[in-house]
Amino acid sequence: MAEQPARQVPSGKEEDAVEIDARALVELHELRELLFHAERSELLALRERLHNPRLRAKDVSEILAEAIRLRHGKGGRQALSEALAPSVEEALRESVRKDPRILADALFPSMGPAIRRAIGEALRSMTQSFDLAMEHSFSLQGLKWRFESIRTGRKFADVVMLHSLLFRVEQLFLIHKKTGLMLVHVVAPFVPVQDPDMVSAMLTAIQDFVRDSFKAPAGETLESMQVGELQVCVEQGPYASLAAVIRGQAPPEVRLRMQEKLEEAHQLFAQQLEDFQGDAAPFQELVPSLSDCFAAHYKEKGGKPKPFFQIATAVLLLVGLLWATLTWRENRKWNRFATELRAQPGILITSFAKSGGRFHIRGLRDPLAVNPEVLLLKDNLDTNLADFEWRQYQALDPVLVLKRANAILEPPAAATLALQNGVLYARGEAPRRWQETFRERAPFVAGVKAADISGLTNTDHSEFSVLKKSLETTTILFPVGVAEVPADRKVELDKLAKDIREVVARAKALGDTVSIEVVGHADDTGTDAHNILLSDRRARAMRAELVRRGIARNMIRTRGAGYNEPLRNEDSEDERKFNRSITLRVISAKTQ
Amino acid sequence: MLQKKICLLGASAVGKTSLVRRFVESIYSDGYQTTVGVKIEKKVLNASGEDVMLLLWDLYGEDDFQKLRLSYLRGAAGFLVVCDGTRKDTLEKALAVHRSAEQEFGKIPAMIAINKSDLASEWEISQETENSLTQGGWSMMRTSAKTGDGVEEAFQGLARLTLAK
Repeated sequence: MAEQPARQVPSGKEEDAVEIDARALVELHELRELLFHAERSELLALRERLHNPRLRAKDVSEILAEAIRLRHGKGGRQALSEALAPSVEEALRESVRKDPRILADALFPSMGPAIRRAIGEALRSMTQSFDLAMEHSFSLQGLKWRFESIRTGRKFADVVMLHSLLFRVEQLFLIHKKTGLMLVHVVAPFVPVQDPDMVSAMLTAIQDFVRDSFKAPAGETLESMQVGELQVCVEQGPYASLAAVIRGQAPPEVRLRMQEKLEEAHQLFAQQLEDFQGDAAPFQELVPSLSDCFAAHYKEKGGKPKPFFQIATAVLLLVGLLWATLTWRENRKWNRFATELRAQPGILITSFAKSGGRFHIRGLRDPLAVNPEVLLLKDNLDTNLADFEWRQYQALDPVLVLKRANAILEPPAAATLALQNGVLYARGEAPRRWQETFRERAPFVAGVKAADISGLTNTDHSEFSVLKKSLETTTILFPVGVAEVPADRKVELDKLAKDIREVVARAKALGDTVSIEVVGHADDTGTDAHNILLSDRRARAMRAELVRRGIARNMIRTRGAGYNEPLRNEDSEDERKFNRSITLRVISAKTQ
Repeated sequence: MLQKKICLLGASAVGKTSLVRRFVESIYSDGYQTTVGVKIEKKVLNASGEDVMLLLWDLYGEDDFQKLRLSYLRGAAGFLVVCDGTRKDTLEKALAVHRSAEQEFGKIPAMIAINKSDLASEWEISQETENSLTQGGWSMMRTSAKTGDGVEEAFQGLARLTLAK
C-alpha cells in the first residue's frame, strides 16, 4: 500500500526516468517519515534493546522472578530445580569457602529449632519411661516387672513401658509397589532396626508369595501380619504401599491415618512414583509428615495403689536392701580373706566357692604354712562357715624351706640358719656332732641345694670344760663316821650320773677318753689309818651308787684321801663337815 | 543413592546363592529360599561413576518340585541369568526362564553368568555357543563363586546395563 504512489508515477524518457526515480525515493522517504515516524523510532529503540546486553540484562531482571514463579506453577518444578541445582550448589560452596559464617547465620534460625526439637523429643521419651518406672516401682505389679527385668536382662523402664503400652507405631516403610524398593523409612526413637532396604523387599516378596499361594483375586493383598506383640499393617496405594510395624494392638484410626499419609504421598509425588527408576531421594520430603504417626499410647492409670501394699513393698524392699548390704559386706570380707590366703607362702587355692551360706576352700597346703583358721580368727570370720579341703605338698618358698630346715635340723640355741639362693647357711656356735648332722642332712631338706657351715665355730671344748668344772666342784657330804651315801641325796646323785655320761660323750666328740676318780675324805678326828679306811669306804659307796645309775664300773676309780686332802681348814664344826665328803675328778686320757 | 532390583534366574544348583553370598551383606537365612522361594540380599557398588544399591532377589531355582514365581520378577531392573558351565542343559533352562520372564514383563537388561569357571576340565558349554549368544546381543561373563573370579564384574556389568537403559 505504501509504495502505490511510486508505481503510479507516469513513465517518459530515460533521463526523466532517473530523475523521477530519485524524486520518487525522496518522496518515498518523506512519505515514510510522515506515516511511520513514531514506529520507526520505536523500532530503533527495540533494536538497541535487543543488541545491547546491558539493556537485555535489565529487561530479564525485571521478569526473572515472575518467570520462575510461572514455571513452578506449571509443574515444571523438577526441570527448573535440575537446571538450577549445579549453580546453587556451586554458589553455596563458594559462599562457604569465602565466609562460612554467612551460611551458618542464615541456617541458624532453622537448624536451631530442629536440633532443639530432636533433643526435646529424646528427653521427653526418656522422661516418659522414667515417670512410668517411678510410678510402678513400689507396687506389687512393679515388683513382678522388676523380676521380669532381672530375668530378661531388659532395663526396668523398658519393661514398664512395654506393659503399659497400648500401642506404638515403631517403624514405617513407604515401598514402591512394583519394584519392592524402599522409598522412605522412618523409625521411632530407641527402636532397634534391621536393614530397611532388605526388609522392604522381603515384605513385598512375602505379599507376592501370599497372593500367589492362595490365588487371591487381583486387588486383594496381605493387610496385616502378627508376630507376638508386633503387628505389621500394610496399606496399598496405586504405586506405593505403606507398611507400619506396630507394637501392641492398633485401633482402626491408625489405618485411617496410614491411608491419609499414603494418599498424601501419591498426591505430592504422582509423577515420580509412576516413573520411579530407583532414585528415592525426592521422597525424603515425606519424612516429617510420616513421623507424625509415632505417638505412643499408654493405658489409662488405674485407681490409686493401696497404701498397705505400698508400705509392705517398701518394708520388703528395705529388708531386702539390708540383707543385700550385709551379704555384700560379708562376701567382701571373705574375698579379702581369700586374697590374703592366696598371698601366703605354702598355700595354693584351687577353688573358692560359696554354697548354702558356707564357703568351700580347696587347695594345696604345706604343713608348715600358716594355719588358715588362725587367719580366719584374725579377720573376725566365723571358722564354722569355712570348709577347708587341703592336699599336702612341700612348698619351695624360701620362708618355708627355712622353717622346714629348722624343724628337721634342730640347730642349738647358739646357732642360726639362713637361706640364700638355695644354700643353707649355719652361723654361730654349735657342737661338732651337730655340725656333722647338719652337713649330712641339710641337702636332703626339700628346697635346699647345698649346706654351708663356714660361719660356725665349734662349741664342744668350752662345753666340755664347763661340764668338767661343774663335776669337779661337786661335793657330797657324809654324817660323822658314816660311809654310806645318805638316802636323801638321790636327786643329786641322778644329776651327777647324767653329767658324767655327758662329759664322757663330749670328750668322745673331741676325740678323747675320760675316766672318773671318786676321792673320799674324812675330818681330822680319829686316827689317820681309820680316816683313810673310812674315806676309802665312802668313795666305794659312791662308786656303787653311780654304777647303780648306769655308769660303767671300770670307768670309776676310787681313792681314800683320809684327812690328807682337806677341803676346808677345820676352824669350826661348820667347816669340818665339808671334809666328811667325797669329790670327783675327771681324768682325760690325753692329758694323763 | 539409586536403587535397582535385580533378579537371579536359573535352574537349581547352578550356584546362584553361592554367587550372591560371595559379595553381599545379608540378614536373612538361606531357609527363606526353600520356604518363600526367594531370599533378598543387598550390595552397594559403583557403576559408571555412580553409587548404586542393588537389591538382589535370589530366586529358588526352578526344578521338579517348585515352579518359579513370576510375580517375584515384577519391577526388576535387571536379570542375572545364571547357568552352570559344566552342565550344558542348565544354560537352556536358564534361557527358557528368561524367555518366559521377557514374555511377561518385556525387555529388561540382562546378563548371563556362566558359573563354575574353576572347573575348566568339566566344561560343557562350547565357545561357539558362547559366540552365538554374544552375537545375539547377550552380555556374558564367566564366573566362579568358588574363587570369586568374575563375580564382582558380572554384577558391575549388569548394574551398568541397568543404568544405561
